[in-house]
Amino acid sequence: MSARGVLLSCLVCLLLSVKPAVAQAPGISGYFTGGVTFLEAAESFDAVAGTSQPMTLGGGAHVSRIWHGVFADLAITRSSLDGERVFVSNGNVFRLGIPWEARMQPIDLAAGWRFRAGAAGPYVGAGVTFMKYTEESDFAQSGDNVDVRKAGPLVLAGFDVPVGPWVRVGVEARYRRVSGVLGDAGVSKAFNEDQLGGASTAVRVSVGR
Amino acid sequence: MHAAVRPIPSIGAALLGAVLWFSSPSAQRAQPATPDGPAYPLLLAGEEGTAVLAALSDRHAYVPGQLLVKFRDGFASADQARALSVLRASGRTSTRWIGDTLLVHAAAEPNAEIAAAILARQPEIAWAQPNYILKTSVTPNDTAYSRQWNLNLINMPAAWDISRGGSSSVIVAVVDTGITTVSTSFPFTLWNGTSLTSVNIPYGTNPDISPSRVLEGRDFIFWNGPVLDMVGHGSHVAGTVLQETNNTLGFAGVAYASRLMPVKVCVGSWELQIARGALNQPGFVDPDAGGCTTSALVNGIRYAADNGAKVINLSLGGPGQSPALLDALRYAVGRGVFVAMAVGNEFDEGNPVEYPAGYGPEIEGAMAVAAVGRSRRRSYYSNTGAHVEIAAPGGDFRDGGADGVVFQVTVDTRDSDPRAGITAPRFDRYAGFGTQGTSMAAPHIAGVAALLVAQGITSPAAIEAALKQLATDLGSPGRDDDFGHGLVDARAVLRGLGVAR
Repeated sequence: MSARGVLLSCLVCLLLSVKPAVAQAPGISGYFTGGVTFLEAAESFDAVAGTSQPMTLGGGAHVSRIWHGVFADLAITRSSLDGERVFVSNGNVFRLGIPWEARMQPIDLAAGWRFRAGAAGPYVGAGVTFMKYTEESDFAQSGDNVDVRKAGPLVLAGFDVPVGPWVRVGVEARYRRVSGVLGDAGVSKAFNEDQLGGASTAVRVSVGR
Repeated sequence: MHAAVRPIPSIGAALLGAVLWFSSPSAQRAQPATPDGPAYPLLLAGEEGTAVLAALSDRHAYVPGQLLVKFRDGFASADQARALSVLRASGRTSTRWIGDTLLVHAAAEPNAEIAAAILARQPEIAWAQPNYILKTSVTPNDTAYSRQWNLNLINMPAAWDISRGGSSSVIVAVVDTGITTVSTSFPFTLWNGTSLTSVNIPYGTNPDISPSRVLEGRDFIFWNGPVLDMVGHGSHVAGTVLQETNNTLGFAGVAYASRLMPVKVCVGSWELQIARGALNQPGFVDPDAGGCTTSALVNGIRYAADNGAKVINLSLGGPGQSPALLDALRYAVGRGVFVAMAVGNEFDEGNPVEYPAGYGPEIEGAMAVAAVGRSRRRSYYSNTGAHVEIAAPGGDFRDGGADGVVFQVTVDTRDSDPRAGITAPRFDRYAGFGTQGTSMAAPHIAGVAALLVAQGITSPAAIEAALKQLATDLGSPGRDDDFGHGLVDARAVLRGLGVAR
């Protein structure tokens, strides 16, 4: 089954698992998120893009109170980096002036526990991320560019507060690990970095119940 | 000490198969005859020059009586003189500085290996060595017109999409038999079999390299005049580096926007014949005579480094270790010059380690280049060993027959073949010739290095690292003694790396 298939199946299962509670019905909200990702392959991205901390924007859906504090969360974010192709010698980076661009688009599917459901409070969760990674540059021939999707584990933690009957604002951190994309070639091989994931922090604004 | 310093990559006599003819339009502008001798002072004259002439003519391993000496730091000139006095005691000695190396001519001590051993024992002296002779070696092949498979093999067409031949700001020095820089005639005295007569010898520039891209250069072995190629080797090598491309004429060169610095440190039989004529010596020189002195080579490398070259090609070598050469290479690389060196063609003759290529692994920024044929197999003649760092197309007639050699426009050696009975040569006509040798491989590396310099990679060590990292691995996985780190891939080198690929 493809990554997309797995993702949809999990989402359907999560939605089917939502049961009305006697005391409080499950709440469904959508959210926007914006922040920074601290890529684990820092030396590689620093070499090519000049930074390993891209801005990250996205959004998602959150189903809370599935059973007591249990929640399910689906998030889609996107970040991109521009740079130029290089080669590395003895740790020194030499730029070749050939434009390079990378895009990371993780789809995170997670479940977790929300403390003090409905009120201001923290939450923690874990799940799986489905990372779509593309890397393009000038003068590419067939097979030179990269367009792959890989799955990996995800953990998250956050804290949010209600600022109105329908709106919550909070901060959140996520950590993803994605193997099988980096480390076999390119400067990631030179730097012996094989993890595409990393930590991200974001501000999150939710709308819903 | 080391035995005979022997040959290097292929050369004049190996140039085969004229397929295209070019005449330099301004060729044969007559130069007024000068009955008093050559238009410019010959370097192959005087006591020092005639010793070189004799050594090259007789195909010695080194120039009798000549030594290259380096003093240790901290010794005053009086101390240096004392050290040399062990030779002066046995006769007249003349000296000349080449950078920080002293060329000593001790006529009374013809055995330079013994003299070097004596000097090396003096506390003031770091090292002393004979003035070895490096020659060009011949590899047999056949002749025919062919596509330049060699440029496709290293991915040049795609590389040219990235860099259109590099930049005119990048100067490549071809330290070799010279590349003719003038189109004119010079009167020389030559032996015609019965008498010494004055002959106007015409010279012409390569019609497939724009004169605007050719610097004046320098001759360190024949005369104090314009650089002239009377062998064809230097012109062939230079063609691979930077011959005009997309000009509907002749063949293509790798870094065709670069500028060429011709540095002459090697001679063939015609230079020796001319020098004999100037000395009123009758008789013919052995057609295979010639070579390059270590002193001229050291001079040439230093000259190139001091005059703006960013890349030096050395398609020459010999089996004798030479501290003078090692110093010169370090000097050049220290001044930001990348050096490509042919590993030699003597695989079937004992596979010796040849120098300067043998010093490649010691210097980051100077690379020893092996040769492959069109099927990416090691060329049968290409030396192997731990010093081999990278491979490039050198041609191999056993791998593709006459089409398996490397073609370039060069001096048409049919106009000057002594074996054909020619006693009044001409060097103003050019043709496409195919030949093979690690001499032909090294200039591919020099050309790609020039393209990298044009892209802003100016550190010789970084250029070497890029060439190694992005080569196509051949033979055993990883570095091996046949191909080094593999076959150069010009496109991969110029394009570099992204994060994942």
